[in-house]
Amino acid sequence: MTKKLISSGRDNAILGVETEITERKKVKDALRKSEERFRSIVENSHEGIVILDDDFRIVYCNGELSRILGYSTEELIDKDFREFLDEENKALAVDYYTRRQKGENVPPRYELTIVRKDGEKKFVEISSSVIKDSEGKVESVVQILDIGESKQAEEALRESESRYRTLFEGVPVGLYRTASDGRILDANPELVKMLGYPDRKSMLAINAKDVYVNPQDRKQWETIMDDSDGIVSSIEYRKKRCEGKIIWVQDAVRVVIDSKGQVLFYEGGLQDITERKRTEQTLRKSEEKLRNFAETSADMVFQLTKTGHIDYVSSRVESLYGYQPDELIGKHLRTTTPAKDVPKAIKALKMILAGKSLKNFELNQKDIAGRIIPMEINAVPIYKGKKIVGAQGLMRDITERKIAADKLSKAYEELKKTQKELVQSEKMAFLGRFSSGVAHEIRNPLGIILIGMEFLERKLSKTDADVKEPIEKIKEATFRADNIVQSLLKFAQPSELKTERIKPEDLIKDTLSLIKFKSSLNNIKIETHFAKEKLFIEVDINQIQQVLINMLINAIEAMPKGGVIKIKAYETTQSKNSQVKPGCVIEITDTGEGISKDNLTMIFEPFFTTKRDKKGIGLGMFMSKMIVINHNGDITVNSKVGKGTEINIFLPMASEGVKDNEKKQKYPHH
Amino acid sequence: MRKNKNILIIDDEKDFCYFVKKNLELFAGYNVVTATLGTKGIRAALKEKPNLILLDIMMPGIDGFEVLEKLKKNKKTLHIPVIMLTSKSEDESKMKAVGLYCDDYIVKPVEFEVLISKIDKVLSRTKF
Repeated sequence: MTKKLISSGRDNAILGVETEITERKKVKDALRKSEERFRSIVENSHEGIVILDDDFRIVYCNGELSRILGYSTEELIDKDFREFLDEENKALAVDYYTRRQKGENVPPRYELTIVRKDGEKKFVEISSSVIKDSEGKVESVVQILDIGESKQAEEALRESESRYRTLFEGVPVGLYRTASDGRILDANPELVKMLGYPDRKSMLAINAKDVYVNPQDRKQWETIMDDSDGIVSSIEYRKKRCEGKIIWVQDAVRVVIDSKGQVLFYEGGLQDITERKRTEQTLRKSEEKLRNFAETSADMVFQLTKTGHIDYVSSRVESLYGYQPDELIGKHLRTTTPAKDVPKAIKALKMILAGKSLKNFELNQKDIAGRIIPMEINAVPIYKGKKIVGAQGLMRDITERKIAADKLSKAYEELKKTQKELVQSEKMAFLGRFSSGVAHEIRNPLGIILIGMEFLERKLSKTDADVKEPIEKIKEATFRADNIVQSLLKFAQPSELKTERIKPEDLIKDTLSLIKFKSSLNNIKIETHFAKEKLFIEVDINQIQQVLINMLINAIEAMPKGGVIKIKAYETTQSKNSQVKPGCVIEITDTGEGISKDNLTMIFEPFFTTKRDKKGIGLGMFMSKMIVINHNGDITVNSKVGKGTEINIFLPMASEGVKDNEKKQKYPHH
Repeated sequence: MRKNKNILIIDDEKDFCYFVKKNLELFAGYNVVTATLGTKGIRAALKEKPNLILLDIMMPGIDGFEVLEKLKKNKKTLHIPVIMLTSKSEDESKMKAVGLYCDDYIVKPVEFEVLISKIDKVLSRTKF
């Protein structure tokens, strides 16, 4: 009897063969060979193969099955296969098995979880078929494929797929997938919403290229994608919404390529940054405005850090300091501040950093050449939130203003001085008139006293010799009183001068001759030193001589024990009322007792005298000053107690020409 | 020859006039008439026809210059020599102008000797 081959739908076939004895050997051999072949196939199959009887008992199993189950084949023979099934699947497997054995149609392939010897559960794929053995018994041939990892992988994949889906659907970023030609392969609800489409379907109908506001943006996008490694973290451009409204988006994209390097698709996320862009623009505009203001302002705008380093200077810095703006960035404020003004600058900065504002603060600065520029600063703190991080403000060059202010203050000083002098001369004029009045009033009674005395003298001296001397004394006293009055009157003289052109040298020499007697008497040496240049002054000789005599007498009387008087005449310039006048100085110095500081301030006051013998009435210096001032000159006195006194008489130089009026011989020299 | 000479002194200072009169009469032998006002002086000059007039400048009412002018404008007094008396160092230009009309001037206070000599000098010049 021969049995046919029964195949069970798989590559491997199981066959049972029956054969006759005679031919049995031949057949047996052939059978054996074939059995060996099939046995080898079964043994080496990568699927676990097990044959079960109708009672689930394992009749046969291969090595792979033993590996799958973790038992040795010996342990497995005769075991109930159901033992190795996971509880979950057991019912199902049993049901299938039973039905299959009855001949029903059940799915030949399904999945199970088996339990290994060590308790581990494995996913397997079962492929089962039914055969009849030599006795007609029904057996199941089961092929078991270990799909453990692939099952787990499949699960993981499914899980990740579901997670991705959740993210894709829910995240507030517009996610998309596009083909390289721009077709939209996928779009999440957020993207649909962002671009204003009614639904996903209508979104997928459009091409990504069409929603660019500026086609250049698309080209640029493509270029960037090409140039990059396939990942672009952000590009910004404008997109058109469904209804036409334009929005700004930020795109983060990566390209997915196949094994050949061809673009499969692009996937990325869009964010609507319209608001941000708007704010940026507003900010930029306002920044431009400020920058424009800073750059065009006539005042220099500056910003300093907390440490006093320059953060920003407007371009005005060039015309003010001579530096380019970038030459100063990062430098300390010391760079533009003169050394001695640095402490002041730092103190001011500290004030600003403490929250105070600087208003009209004056500070010297120095330019690139080291020249000092006076500046006026208005500055405030820079806030970052509530913290102060620096100082900023405006700087203005106030050189012009300072010059003007200086001029003004100088002019004011001159004005005050002139006013003082005017007042003084008013006083003088008044005093003059007053004194004159007094003088005349006194002279009348003096005249009477004198003439009366003379009468008495004549009348009485003949008869009474004693009368003569007393009357003489009275007359002397009267003359003295009259002298005083005369002095008074002299100073009340009208200001009209009879001027003559004369060399100071000559005038001095003549004056000296007048006092020669007195000076030699007091053991006083007189030294003269006259400048080599020809000096000429135009003066009322009488008056100036009066002045010189006065000064010389004072000098002589200051040196009762003798000394030296030095007289010099030289050319000089004197500035008065911002005018510089050329002139001549007559300098008279003595080595006398000197004048104290307090007295010096009073020395030109009328009726001021330190002479104890009351010889003078204290008008000498006063009148001298008046005379000299009348000549448009001035007298100054320097003195040190115990050392001596120096008198400087300044007289303006005589004007050129008028040589015919020069009276050289007016004062003969002896 | 002073005895016959009459001198008129016009000066508002009464005591000065008194002493001048006293001195001149007692020690120089002149006859002296005094007037203490310019106007009175002119009247006195017309009346007394003095040989010399001592004329003070500073006077209340009309001053010495005016009196001088009036004296010189009057035929009757024009020839009388005048010596101006002044206690002021008068404006010299003025004095110079006046000097054309007066014969001399004296600054008060004046010593008797000086007064006498000036009077004598002027009188000796005019011969009448």
